[in-house]
Amino acid sequence: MAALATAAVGAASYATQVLLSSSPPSGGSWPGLAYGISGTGMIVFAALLAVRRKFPTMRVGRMQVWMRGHVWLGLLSFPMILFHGGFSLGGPLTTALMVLFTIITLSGIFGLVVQQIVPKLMMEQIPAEVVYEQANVFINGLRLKAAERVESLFPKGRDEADGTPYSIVKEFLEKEIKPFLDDPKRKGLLTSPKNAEIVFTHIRKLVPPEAHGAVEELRQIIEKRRDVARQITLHYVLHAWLLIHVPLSAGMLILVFVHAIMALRYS
Amino acid sequence: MVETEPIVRKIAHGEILTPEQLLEYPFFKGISEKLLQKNLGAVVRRTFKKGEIICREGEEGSTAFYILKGTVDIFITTAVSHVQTQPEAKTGWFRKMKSLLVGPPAATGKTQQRQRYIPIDASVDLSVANPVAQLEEGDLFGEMTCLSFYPRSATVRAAEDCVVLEMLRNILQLLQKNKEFKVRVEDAYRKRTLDRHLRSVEIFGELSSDFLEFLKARVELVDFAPGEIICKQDEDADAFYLIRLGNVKVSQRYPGGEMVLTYLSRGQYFGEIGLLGHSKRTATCSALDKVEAVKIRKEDFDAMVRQFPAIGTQLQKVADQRLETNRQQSKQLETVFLNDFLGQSLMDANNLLLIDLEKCTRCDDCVRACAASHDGITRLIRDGVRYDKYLVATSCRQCLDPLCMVGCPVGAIHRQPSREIVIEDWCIGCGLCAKQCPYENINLHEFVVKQMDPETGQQKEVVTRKATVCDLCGQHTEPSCVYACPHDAAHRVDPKEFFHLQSIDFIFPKPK
Repeated sequence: MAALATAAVGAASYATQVLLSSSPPSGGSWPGLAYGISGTGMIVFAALLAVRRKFPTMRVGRMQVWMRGHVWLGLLSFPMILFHGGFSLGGPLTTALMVLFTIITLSGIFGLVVQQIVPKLMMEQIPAEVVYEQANVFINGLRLKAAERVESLFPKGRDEADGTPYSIVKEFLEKEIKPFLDDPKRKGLLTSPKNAEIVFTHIRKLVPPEAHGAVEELRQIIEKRRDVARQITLHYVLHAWLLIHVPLSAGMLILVFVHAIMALRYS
Repeated sequence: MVETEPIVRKIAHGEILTPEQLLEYPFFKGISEKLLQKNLGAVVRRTFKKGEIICREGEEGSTAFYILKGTVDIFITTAVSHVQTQPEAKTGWFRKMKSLLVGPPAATGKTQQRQRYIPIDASVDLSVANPVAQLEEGDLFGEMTCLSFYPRSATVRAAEDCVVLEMLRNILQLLQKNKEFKVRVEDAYRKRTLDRHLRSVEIFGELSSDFLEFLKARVELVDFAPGEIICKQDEDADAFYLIRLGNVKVSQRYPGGEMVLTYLSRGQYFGEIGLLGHSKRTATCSALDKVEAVKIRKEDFDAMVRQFPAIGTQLQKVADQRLETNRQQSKQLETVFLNDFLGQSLMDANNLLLIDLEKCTRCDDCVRACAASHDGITRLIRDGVRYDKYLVATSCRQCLDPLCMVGCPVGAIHRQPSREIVIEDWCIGCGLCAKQCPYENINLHEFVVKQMDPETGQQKEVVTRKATVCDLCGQHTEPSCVYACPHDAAHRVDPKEFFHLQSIDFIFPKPK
């Protein structure tokens, strides 16, 4: 509310000045400077969130408060900077600054939207999330489990297993399951969940009922791998925007500093 | 006569005693020679020179020792100190948190020195202020290690040249069934330890020497086999019990299940509620492993309360506190259906870290904050069971059935009336509680400290271990994990209260 009120006050004051002087205030004028300083202050505060996160045990306000400040002041800084520049791009440096600032703001808004949607999707679509950093360990575990389960079908007391349920499931493991566990996106019989169901139903028909338990376990392994793949994708969507937002913000802060020095030096 | 082959494993060191040699000891009289022959090698005679270490605290073991000659020192070398997480610098915002060993006597806060004695696996208790005692001829130590394979509770060093019998479980059990041995050990306990044991219980501190003598003569020393019920809920109360060995489970019946109220170990007591006006037992107490207890009959208990009203008042206070805790728990249970709650193991929890999965962006700031607060060792993993839209993150759940409390060789882990699990300063870092926690929420924290080497008597740097649990960042008003969550997704809650406030009918649907 406070941010919206500040934006409204800023906009009203800007409109008043435009009406009174019939031209927008320049960046170097007192009102323009005031917009610039307050906008920069908000940007700096927003950027301080990164510092705050480096010191999580610091008792200088809950992280949630800092995050809200980051979002609202970050958003509010955009109109302030627009008022500061009088809605014009200016020279090459200020143009570069405005382009960066726009990308950063848009990526931030995108991130905000994504954070409202993706966690819910993850919760609904992935019944058992794995610890993201340990996803590869988990996938290796699935590989081992699948191989062990297939080996458990090897007929006892026989040297060869040709024509037995073991040979059928083993072939299925080598040709479809293993490649799917390595890369669920590759084209294969198990790529689509619907096809996978059909394939497993077919395999069940090919083997006697004693082997159905093993086939069911293999089906569950495939579904778990699918869930991990989905989790990795959603995790990427949830965090990839930061690869744009954070480095560009750092770059922009440097340019803001250069812009301030140059403006003070040459105005 | 056909010689019977030994059928048990042998103790690696020491002089193996033949059945004939064993039967020369009066306390072996009455045990069949055949049985002793079968157990050849399960009991050995060992000689220790002055200063030699017989066993060390925290070590795994499977034998008990009976002193035949000489005296031994029994003590704890691990510093009696408190693990405290505090800022490295006193001022400044950018201060890092660091875990330190603090105290005593400065140890304050949650693990205040309420107890004056550390219960150990021997016939004596150790003073918290100076944890050293002596055992002499006729004393037995290491019983719980031998019977239940708990880690050694203390270090034992020969105070002079001494001879001991070291025995495996089967021999100890034979001896415990032997009347002669039992009488001998009980006499020694009554003569030398009982008054100290009674006095180690804070509320008995005021008993006069005369009355103690009176009690010593009248109390019964009783023992119970693992699983045996000592007293049953709703039965008439006829005695008060003080535990001298083993662990007792205290539980109550509820529609649909049984709830563990607490576990009690050496030095703790039970049975007072029934004797103080209730007449009926309010809970069932059963032996978790082999339990030996001091039984004070109702008439003696009443005489004690009449003669020392202050003790009665103190006991009443404890009884009221226990009843109130039980009442609170049963009140919570009335609002939910036990089986539903048990299904997710959440029944166990008294305090959970819940992560709202609809808000959590999986940034792991909570985990990083926890690690930053505890020397880089996180006490929390963002993984666990799901309950509705919440993830029950792995962090101490302060279970209603706190299995971690079972078998601590020095009784260092227990629960406060607030139900918070605390680990006392005399923890010897054996790791049993960490092994027993079903949720892997207890960590062993290592510290390099200077302490005396019991063998050489010299000060040297050693790595000492202390068990730590999530302390809810007690030095702050809010746990670091919750404080550091940027998305208001992490919450520390009492699950019953929290979910009840949400929508009890939705989360715990009533059975049709």
